[in-house]
Amino acid sequence: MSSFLFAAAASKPHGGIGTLVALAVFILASGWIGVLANRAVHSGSFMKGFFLGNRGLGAWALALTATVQSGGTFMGFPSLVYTHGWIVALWIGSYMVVPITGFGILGKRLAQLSRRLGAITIPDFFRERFGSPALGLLASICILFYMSFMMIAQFKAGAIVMKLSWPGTESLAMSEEFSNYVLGAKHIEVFRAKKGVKPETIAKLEALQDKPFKDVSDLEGTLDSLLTPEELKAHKGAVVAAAAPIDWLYFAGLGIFTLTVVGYTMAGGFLAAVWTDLFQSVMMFFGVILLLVLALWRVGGLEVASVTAVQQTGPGFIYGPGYDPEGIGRQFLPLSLAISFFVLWVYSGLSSPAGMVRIMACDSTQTLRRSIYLLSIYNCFIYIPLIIICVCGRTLFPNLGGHSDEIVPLMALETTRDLPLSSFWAGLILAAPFGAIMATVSSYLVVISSGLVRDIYQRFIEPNASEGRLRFLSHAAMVVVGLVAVAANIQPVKYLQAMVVFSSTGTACTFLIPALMAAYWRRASVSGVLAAMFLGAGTALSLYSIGIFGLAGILGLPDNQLLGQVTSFRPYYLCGCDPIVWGLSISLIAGVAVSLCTPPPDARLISKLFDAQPAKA
Amino acid sequence: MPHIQEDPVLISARREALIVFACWVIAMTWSVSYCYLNGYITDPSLISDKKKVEVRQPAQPGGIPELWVDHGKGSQRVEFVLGFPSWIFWGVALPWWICTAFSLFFGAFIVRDEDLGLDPEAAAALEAAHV
Repeated sequence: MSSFLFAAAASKPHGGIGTLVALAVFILASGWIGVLANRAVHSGSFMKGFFLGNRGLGAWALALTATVQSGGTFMGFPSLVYTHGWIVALWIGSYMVVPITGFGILGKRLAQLSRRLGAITIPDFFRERFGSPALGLLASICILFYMSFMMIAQFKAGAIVMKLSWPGTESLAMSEEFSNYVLGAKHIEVFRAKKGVKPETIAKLEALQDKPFKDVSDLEGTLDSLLTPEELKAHKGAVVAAAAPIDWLYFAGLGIFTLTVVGYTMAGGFLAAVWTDLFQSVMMFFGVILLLVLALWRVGGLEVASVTAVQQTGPGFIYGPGYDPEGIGRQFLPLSLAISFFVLWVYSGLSSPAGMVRIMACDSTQTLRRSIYLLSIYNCFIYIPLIIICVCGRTLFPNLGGHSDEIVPLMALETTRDLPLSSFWAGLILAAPFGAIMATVSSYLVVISSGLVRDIYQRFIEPNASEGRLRFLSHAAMVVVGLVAVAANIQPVKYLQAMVVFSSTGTACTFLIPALMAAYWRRASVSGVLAAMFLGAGTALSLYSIGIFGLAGILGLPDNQLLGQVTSFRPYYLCGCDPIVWGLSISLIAGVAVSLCTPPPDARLISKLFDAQPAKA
Repeated sequence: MPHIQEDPVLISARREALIVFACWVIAMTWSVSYCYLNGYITDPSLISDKKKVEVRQPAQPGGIPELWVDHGKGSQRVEFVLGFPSWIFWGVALPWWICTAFSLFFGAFIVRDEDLGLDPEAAAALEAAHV
């Protein structure tokens, strides 16, 4: 072994009191911004102020919030770099054009049409553009479905960042199972007292007493080999539930996170989500740059880090299709998926309902233009540096195994270790992932509650509802959505990054082609747009269902489990391509074909939206 | 019958969207094809094989050790540019910087400023103020 190799970090670092203080300051600042936003939304009508910020977004707020990060940026993505190596640069490479595609393809027309139509939400936009309540309702249902998936997964991530910032927390795990499963004496006593549990079963369970299992599958595997099929059928579920750890810090983190984010979003609505998002994006920028400098300094340069990482892994770390830690022939990014991800990130950012509604809220085309400058520069300093940080991380922490999503927090704690006020600096860096998660949740809370209150309640149940009633219902919707997310996370949801990709794919397949048709095609008809939306969403959902439920064999399709990242929440990659490629293609064909086969839309409405309007005297 | 003109915002937005679309196609074609041709191992059995990696002492004392990898065509030295593996530099990093420069140019010189108009609520408020 070469002498230049660095000693890996001796032990896992953990947060200190300064980390907690930094995060507390961050939370208070976010709350304060929510209060400021609350004052600002009081001009104009409640709905336009609360859900669209009175169409007054400036360049900074638009650029750094519309198409930027989610919790996945600081957790899932770094974990992939750590696990598969440099190929992840190509996986995320399409972000090089996201600033111009995000604002340049739809931005100007969406902002203009939403004004002409008086649209406040995305379903509003489709309903008014095509004069079809059915289209608005379908858009609302799709948004509620996809956004709920994305948002619920983010709550878990937020809770875990809170947990790991607690002083002395040894486990930094953000992975699916982060505490040991242990069957204690008191659990066995409960089984002994139960009717119908045989003494020989109790004896077998006693053999497992106080033995730690690293995760649920470890425990289940042991039970499978120890108990008879009858015993397994009768008691396996109860034994696993009894042995599951009660993670008080996780629950405390979940509570604080939920109160914070629901609280400030209720206070200031859309503007609170956007302003805190902006503040958090700025924090992320400085956090990443600081971590980049510290990481490179610590390992002695990028080339050294790459050489060391390849030595610890294999050729796949520095070449495509990416390193396969299991050594089973997995291809993380074959050519077909490289093309797919160049489509996915660009068009999912462009057609995300949370992003589109922010474009509708921008104040002018100058803002769109300036947003392109700002986001181009911002992305340059986020994604490539994060890749470099994680390659350095592989050198410092060579054996994270299934806990690779800890890499950014670990690097923050490890590289600041020798600085004065080290834990405070680490806390500031940790605020970046926390901020990304809060920003995502906050913006989805606004989109979901506007979907429930504006697009369903006001449109279909009580069109003449008073402003006070709408305000009450909007706040109540946020509280209910927060409670549902907490309930869904009592048993932490799995597959955060996979859910991010699923939700992004689903929204792109549902909304991209309809939005393009609405903006640029006079001949687009209601039926055509309905077909594009329905078949795009249906294609993505079908391919995900085939993958998740393992239906490929039943349908006679070739197995492709060894493509892409390791997760059981995976789509079926038809011909090796991600569902987004098929979803968009079918949506486009259906939209065009059905529009051409159905009567053209109302000429007066089209003229209002596509022709120059006479200037008012 | 009076000649009806297309909305100027529609005209400029469509022109800009086509330019952006072309930029995405060029970026994808260059990045994916360059990386695939220069940075992929074609034999999947070599991906995780540590034996195919060799680190040689640098030619000059104090230099960075050289990384040699056998990816199916005999042992070859891995080239780095500014610390990046060269295929990542030419296939992703440099195009990213070029796209950033183009985005600045696009925002400054290609996107036309237009009047987006007022929504009905704002228009009514304005009208009421005039009355």
